[in-house]
Amino acid sequence: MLTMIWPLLAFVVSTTLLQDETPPETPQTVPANEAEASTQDVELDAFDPTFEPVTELVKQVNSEPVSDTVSENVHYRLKVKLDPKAKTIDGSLVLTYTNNSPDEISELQFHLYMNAFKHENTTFAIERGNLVDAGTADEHSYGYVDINELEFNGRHALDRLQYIQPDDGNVHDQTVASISLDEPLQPGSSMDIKCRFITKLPKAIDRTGFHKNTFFAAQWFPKLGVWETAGFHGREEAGWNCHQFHAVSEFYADFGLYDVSITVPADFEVGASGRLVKVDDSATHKTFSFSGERIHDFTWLASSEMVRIPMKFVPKEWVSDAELEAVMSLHGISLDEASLKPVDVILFMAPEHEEQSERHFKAVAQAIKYFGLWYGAYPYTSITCVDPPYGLSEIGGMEYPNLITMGTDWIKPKDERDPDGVTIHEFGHQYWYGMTGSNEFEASWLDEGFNTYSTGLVMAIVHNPIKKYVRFNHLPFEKNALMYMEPYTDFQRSRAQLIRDQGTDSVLRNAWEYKNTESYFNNSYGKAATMLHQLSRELGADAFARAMRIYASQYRYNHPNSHDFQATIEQLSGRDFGWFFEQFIFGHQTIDYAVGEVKSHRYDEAIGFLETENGRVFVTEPDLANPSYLHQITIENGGTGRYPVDIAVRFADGTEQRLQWDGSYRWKKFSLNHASEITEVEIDPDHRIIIDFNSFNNSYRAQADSQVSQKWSLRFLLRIQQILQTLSGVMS
Amino acid sequence: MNVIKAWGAGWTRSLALPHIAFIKWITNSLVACALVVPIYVILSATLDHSLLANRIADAIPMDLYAELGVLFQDLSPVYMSLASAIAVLFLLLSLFISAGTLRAVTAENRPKTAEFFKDSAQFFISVTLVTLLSLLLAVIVLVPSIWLFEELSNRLNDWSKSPQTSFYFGWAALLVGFILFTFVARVSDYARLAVCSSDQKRSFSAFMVGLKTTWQQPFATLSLWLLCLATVAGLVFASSLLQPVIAPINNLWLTLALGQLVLILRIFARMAWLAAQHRLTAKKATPVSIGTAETIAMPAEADPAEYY
Repeated sequence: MLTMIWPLLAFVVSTTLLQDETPPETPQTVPANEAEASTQDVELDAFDPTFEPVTELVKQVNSEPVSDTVSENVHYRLKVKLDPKAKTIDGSLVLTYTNNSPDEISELQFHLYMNAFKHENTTFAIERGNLVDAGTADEHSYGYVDINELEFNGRHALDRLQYIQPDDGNVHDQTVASISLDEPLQPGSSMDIKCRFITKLPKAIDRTGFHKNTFFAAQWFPKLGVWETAGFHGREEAGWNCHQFHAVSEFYADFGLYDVSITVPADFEVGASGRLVKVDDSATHKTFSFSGERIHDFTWLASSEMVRIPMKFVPKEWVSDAELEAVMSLHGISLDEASLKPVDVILFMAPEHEEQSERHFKAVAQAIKYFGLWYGAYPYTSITCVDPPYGLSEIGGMEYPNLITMGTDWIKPKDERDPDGVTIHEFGHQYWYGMTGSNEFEASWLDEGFNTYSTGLVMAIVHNPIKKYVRFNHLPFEKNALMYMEPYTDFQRSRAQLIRDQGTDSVLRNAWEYKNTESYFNNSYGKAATMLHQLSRELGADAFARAMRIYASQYRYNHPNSHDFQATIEQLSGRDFGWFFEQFIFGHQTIDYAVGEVKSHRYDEAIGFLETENGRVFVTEPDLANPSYLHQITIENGGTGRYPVDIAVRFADGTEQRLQWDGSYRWKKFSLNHASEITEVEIDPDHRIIIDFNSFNNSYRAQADSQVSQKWSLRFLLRIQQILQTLSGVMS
Repeated sequence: MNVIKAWGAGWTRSLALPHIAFIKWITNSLVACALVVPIYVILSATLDHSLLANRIADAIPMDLYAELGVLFQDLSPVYMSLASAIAVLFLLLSLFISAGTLRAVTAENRPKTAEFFKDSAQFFISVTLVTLLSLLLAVIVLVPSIWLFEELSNRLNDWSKSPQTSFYFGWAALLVGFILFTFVARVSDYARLAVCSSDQKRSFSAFMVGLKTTWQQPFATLSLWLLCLATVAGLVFASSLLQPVIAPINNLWLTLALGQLVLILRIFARMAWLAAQHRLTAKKATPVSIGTAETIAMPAEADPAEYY
């Protein structure tokens, strides 16, 4: 019965901690369509080789380029129409691809991600367990993308399309297509690829799909892989980097231009990557035109149910002069380089969460501020933030260029981590993935780990401490008191993942090759973030902050890998970090130092023939007036790696002696002569090593104190007694 | 007798049986100690010589929680097996004691300890059979209800546009579930009281008495239960208010004493509730035709194998 009181108390407390009641700025409500989606039809233009790009229009509006050093070798021009009744997207694509490599390219490889949701034999479905539970499936549960027409430079090529499975050989998987070229694409030359495709969206599942009259189109169009030359990221031969869609892997693509026009029924609103250029209205339909520069994916949302709330991040309202000066001083940059830019924040809110729009905006604004100050200003003019409506939570917590999905609940206590944590995290991906375009298939830690680290830093400023809640029929109940857990920080959250991993996998692995999903999350997110914290302690916080900014700037709109990051760290510090990366990033070594045996021999208790200042003396009665000791301390390494460590030995006379060990071999025995007893031994007394798995065995106090173990045992005892009484109450 | 008077009378009866409360408390405590000793051994080995112990004296940081979780990981399967075995033994022991308890709260006289154990042995099989019949009733009533709830919930989620609908439906369903559980639990109580109060060792007949009594007196039954729940909730709430006062003193003996006081009061409350139920329904329960104390009197020395 005792256990019942905590949820009750938590409820009372939580109801006083509900969200801000501040109304959002000028909300624009999209007319809701209570009935089925519009069945009105509109003809999409026929396959259109003279597709007019809207990029030029964008450049007139936003003449300031987002960066001067970028290689954009793809230009997607997409014209699509949503059929809400059939749940399909009818689209035409004109893709101009420029071969920037020194290689001749004789085939193209495309991602057809949506085919992951085609049936239960796809690699995605098999790795996930299944897509849809048996007995609940209908034709709308699944999705696919079909290419119906295909032309290369004006010549039909559909008959040359074949599905390949470079990762696992699953012949039923159609998420990668290879198309051979008539003649190789020469270095420096371009080609036009035109295709007509139809995408069927599934019911909301893993980041994409529909629910009622809301459609979230992610991974929805044929998307080119990345051509990598020999030597790039250690490749032996030039070729396409185009992996199948896996249950836990994400994406990798070239930066480029996207001109996309989306036609939807007139009562729908659309939000998308890039920026909105124009909206063409007709009686029955609207066409939204978007343009995106220097992005590597394009995602959109169409809904007749959600509430569109445009807001604006104005730097001077969020960043003080002192903060700017601190950034300028730390990084040695000019005011112009440190300054942030205004950003249009377009919120798409679920109606039931509309009152949380201010909270969402605040989180986004804080993310724009801190990521901008630390890693360079957000260069795009807008960010679209989607709060998934009820029934569409599967799309929540995901990032795409200029568009993120968040995630909240109907009732949200202020001290709960999310939605703020997830919002800041997804915005952070605009940097770690969006602009620093690492390969998420092969090095997920470079986006998830970096972003978990950065998110934690922001959260430490804006949202600590955090409490855990459990939900019972939508009502949140605080768990901390029930579990005797302190309110936590993101740093602790990350470190907990490192501990749970126990060296199962290395941080760097192909995303689909971790032992299991839990290992993917532990290694890519928390463990990776903890390793970055560890590096920060090695370099010093300021030097590491500089390194992170340099890495972010140097590889903006580029495809860095783990070695690039290591090189950045080493160049900046002038130190070799190979030992660290080899063990803890590329390898799966672990650290678990422990104080083993502590033995003390008292010299002055000895009897026998003793050598003294007065010569050899035969002693039968020890003289205990001047105590002196030989202390032997065994330090053990229960892990598989090594990390230089200090050991503090404290004595009864108040003195302390420091020892050093490089962690080699399984243990090391230290011998010390001292005039008084050892009171404490502490490994890593400055708490520099945070990747040690077991902190409890890192110290030893000679005087045992059982107060804490008794206290916890008593807590267990009382709780078990109450549970037993409840059980016996049912019986008697 | 109305509900309030029955509740008062129940407490009077319960407080007159401190030796039975003590037996129940000591049983509970011994089993709890058996479960806690392995935990104490590990905690002691981990914390007593560690400088980090004081860091987790009051509450544990999340990452250290993970570290402790790993420490207990190896013990977990062994411990859970042991705990399960002890739990089963405890339930059997509780059933045994419950037979004597039920007899004691319904009897006119005040049974001595020896009589208590004799009654426990005498009614053990009947009470066990009634409990099994109650479990069967729970399965029959609750399993289809849960299935129906899940089906309705899924359909509602497909249809609904907002969480509010699901919220209200969920609480309505929980209320229905609560009432059904109350029904099953009270049938069980009344049936066991019938078994022990009138030497009626035919379990099925007693079960039917329980069913009929519950059916005939739904409001009184529910009111009494809510009264008991409120009492126990108040008790636990009061103790939870006291805990923050005790915590800064950091006196383990005081914490232990408060915990035991709450537990003992819960034991008395449960006995009071049983006694109150008996007094509330004793004169109103109509014997069912297939067997009651009046119609079928079983000899005390009857073969336990026939008690069904």
